[in-house]
Amino acid sequence: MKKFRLHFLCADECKFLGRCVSVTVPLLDGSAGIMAGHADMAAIMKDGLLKIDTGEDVLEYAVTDGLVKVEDGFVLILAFSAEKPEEIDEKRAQQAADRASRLIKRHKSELEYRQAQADLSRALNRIKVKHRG
Amino acid sequence: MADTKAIANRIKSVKDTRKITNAMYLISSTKLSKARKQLESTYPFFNALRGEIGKIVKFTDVEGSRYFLKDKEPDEVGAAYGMLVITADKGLAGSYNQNVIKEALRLMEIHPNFRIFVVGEYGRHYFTSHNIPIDEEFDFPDHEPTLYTARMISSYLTHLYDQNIISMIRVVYTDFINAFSSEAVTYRLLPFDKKHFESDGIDERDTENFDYFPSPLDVVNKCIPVYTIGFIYSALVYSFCCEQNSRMMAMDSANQNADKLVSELGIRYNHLRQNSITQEITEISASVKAAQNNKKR
Repeated sequence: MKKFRLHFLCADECKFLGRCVSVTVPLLDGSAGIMAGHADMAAIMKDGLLKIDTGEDVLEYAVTDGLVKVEDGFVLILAFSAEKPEEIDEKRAQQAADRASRLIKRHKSELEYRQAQADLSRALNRIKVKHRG
Repeated sequence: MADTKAIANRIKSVKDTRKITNAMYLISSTKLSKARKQLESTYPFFNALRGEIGKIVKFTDVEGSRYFLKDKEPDEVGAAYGMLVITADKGLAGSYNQNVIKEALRLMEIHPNFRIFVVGEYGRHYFTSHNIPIDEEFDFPDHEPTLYTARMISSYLTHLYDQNIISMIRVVYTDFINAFSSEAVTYRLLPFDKKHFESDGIDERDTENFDYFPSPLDVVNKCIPVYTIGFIYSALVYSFCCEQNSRMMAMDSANQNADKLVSELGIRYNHLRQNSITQEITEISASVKAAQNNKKR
């Protein structure tokens, strides 16, 4: 399998820098796989599961607020936060999800509603990724 | 003797205060280096993000994006300007808080129609006690800036911006120049100037056949709010560093003053003690002499 270079950064850490066989990213219209020789592109990622196949190993992350870019066969992934399933605290995520759905129901202001929805999406994403792992 | 006791008490109390100021000095210095380290770890991400935004802005038409500066300044009669003022939670940091507030007041003189968002209890207290209206719901503490707080602040402000409640966001914070000097500065956060994203490096790639999902405009509009998080975070950390630095300097001079005071008081204490000893010896030797004289008689 042909490999390509991948640089995966989150806000305060470099998560991955090296060569891999394929990477699966959550785009707005569903998961998309990127392999060597992909056309140049830049796309928004939604909160979801990111998979990196290095050939020997498959790494999984729950990502939020991200961007993926392919340029000259070099893939750059920027995500505000990225966590491995084993780093996720399921109880905390569940609590966050409960709190967010409570706030959504209360719907005091539009701002609160929007923030709560973003929180809920992040929390549910964490739980989902945790259960896969 | 009462006087020497008072001085001894005073010396003890100065020494005790010195212990506190010294502890504050040490705490500030560790907090400072920790915050700087955390900020540095976010540089790669936000620099890369800025680079990507820059490339998109350079090669595609993003005129439709509300996050970029139009030819004219946002109109002054319309929506209010937003101003994010970053102060500390407590004082004891030299002129740090005053400088930020002074800068904020200077801006308010130019444009009276400001909606003020305050970080830190000190600023909040100042504005409320001077009857300057601030956004009451905006409530974020200043201690230990985190990316999480920055994200909350950013989503709060960008939401108001998206709703056209505020037409511009300015950040008033303290810039860390070096260990000895800092400065209260203002920076326009939104809308961005396209120049902000221009890089100096030669980057003559062909982006004609670059695919954007869903569209260049959507990609930029999604990236900018994330980028503002980074900007707010760095403003928070810079301010935090300056606060700690001012506090270190204030506490350092407090320590030096305490040392000076203790040594002065020590000298006075020794003088008084010596005086009383001399007096006692004089009294004893005088009375011995008197007793001897009595015997001889």
